[in-house]
Amino acid sequence: MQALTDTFRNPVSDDPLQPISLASQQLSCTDTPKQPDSEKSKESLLREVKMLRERIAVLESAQSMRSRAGAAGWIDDLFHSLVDGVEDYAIFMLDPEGRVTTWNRGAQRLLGYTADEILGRHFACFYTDSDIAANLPQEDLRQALTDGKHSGDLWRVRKGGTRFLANFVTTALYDADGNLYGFARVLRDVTEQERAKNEIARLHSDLERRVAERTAELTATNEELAAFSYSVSHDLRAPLRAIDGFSQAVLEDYGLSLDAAGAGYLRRIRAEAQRMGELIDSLLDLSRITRAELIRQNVNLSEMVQQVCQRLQQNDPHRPAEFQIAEGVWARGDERLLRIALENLLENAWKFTCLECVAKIEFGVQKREDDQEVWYIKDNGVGFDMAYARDLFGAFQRLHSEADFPGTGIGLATVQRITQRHGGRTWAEAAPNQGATFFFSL
Amino acid sequence: MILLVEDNDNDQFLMFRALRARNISESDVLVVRDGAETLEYLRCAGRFAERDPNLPPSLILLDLKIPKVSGLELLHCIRSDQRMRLVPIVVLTTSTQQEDVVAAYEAGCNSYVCKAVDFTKFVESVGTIIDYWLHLNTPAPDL
Repeated sequence: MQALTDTFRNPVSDDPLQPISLASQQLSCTDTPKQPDSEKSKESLLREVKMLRERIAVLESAQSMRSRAGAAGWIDDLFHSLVDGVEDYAIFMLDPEGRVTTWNRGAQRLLGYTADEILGRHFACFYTDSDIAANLPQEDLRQALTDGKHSGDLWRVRKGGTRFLANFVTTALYDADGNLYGFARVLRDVTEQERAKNEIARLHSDLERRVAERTAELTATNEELAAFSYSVSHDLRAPLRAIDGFSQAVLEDYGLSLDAAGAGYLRRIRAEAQRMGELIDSLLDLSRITRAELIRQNVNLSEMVQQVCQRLQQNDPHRPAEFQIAEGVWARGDERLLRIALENLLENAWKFTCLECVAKIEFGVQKREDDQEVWYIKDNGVGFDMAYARDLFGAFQRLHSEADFPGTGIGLATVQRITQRHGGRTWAEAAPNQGATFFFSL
Repeated sequence: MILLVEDNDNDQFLMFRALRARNISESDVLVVRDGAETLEYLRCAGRFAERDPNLPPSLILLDLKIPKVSGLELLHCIRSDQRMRLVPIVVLTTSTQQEDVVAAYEAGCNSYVCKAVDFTKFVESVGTIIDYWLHLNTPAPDL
């Protein structure tokens, strides 16, 4: 408000009034009417009146300008106080030659100079020596002049020599007549931001490197596993076939020379060789599941369960069984692998209900609190003690004897592997002689 | 005559027993023990120098994993031999690897059979092969 008050306090001291005073003096001194030349003095008077009117118009114009200037001055003050209050940004102005003409609090905080120390100094003192040698201060101003505005990131030097990375904008300023008035400079310290950005980039690249390393390791492991499977497939089965085949050859060719015990031993050798063959096949299947490509699609589990149950019943048509299969149950996953998982679970349910009068096998889906779907297969079979459930899903882990319930002990490991590959898991709830329920998520 | 490409003595023995169940004697089977020997057979070279190239075998039983030249390479060689290209080839192997199955069919085998560990099943599968390829199937005429 100061500028506005001043304007009204001393209106006569302003330049636009000066010619009026002079004109008045001229009127009183030089244009006093002289007798008898009345015509001449009339013309002179008319000329003076015209001149006076012109002067009044100038005065009115000047007063109007002064009034606007007063308002502008108030806005200037407000603007200056706003700019000065900014602490996170250095905002200052330069004259056309690059000397500092204004300095805000942010500039003092960021660059370390007080207004007294810096006003009038050339802004090149904020540049590094190498930037000065490369003529960057002049180049910054030149670009601002050419483009109206120039911005970028550069290292700046504080009072005392420490450096910081600044994001800067230089704007060329012109007065109403288009003459260069100076430059506005806004600086922000982005050192921390840059450091964080570099750190993120470093972590990212480190992560990428580690992922690449892990991927290479996994690829190597997978290749090793594939080679191992191949070797198992070819090399371990051949001797087993020989054990089984030669045992049979002995039974066929020398059966008459053997007593019952001798023949029995040979049959046991054959049975064990064949069992080992099955174990090898199961292991190979498990390894295939681990390596198989996962193709996700919408799968109708109800239909799949229905088909497996039908097959189980057809293979053993006289066994009384009740199947309760929820309809319209879908899941998103690999159709082939999900079928293998369901086959294993249902075959287990079928196997472990073989002692019941009526086998009851149920399939359904539940929604958990977190909205996640959980599918389950429940049976009324022999169940098991949960105390031993810990190793249930390990390969070759069995909770029942081979004599009671034959199997390779690889089925649940296969199910677990399949659900894990889908990002889910498998678990069970059971009690001895009260059936078991196997849950899985995907 | 059957050409049996098999390097394992035990498997040869078991194969002969299985064939005997279909009244095929050892004299009806020519055994080659590795890939190089099979190539000699194809080219009527080495111990097969006296072989009449115009009398190809009626069936080839081929193991994939054999020394020197692989079964897959042999398949390619046999299929590119003018006088052997139409002879039925049954791959008889222990491998159940899908890659092997696909590769064998691509290389031109007519059938792919896994040797069962259970000898009873093995005898059954060999019997089925003989019944089909030597009795039921109509071979391509000599060209």
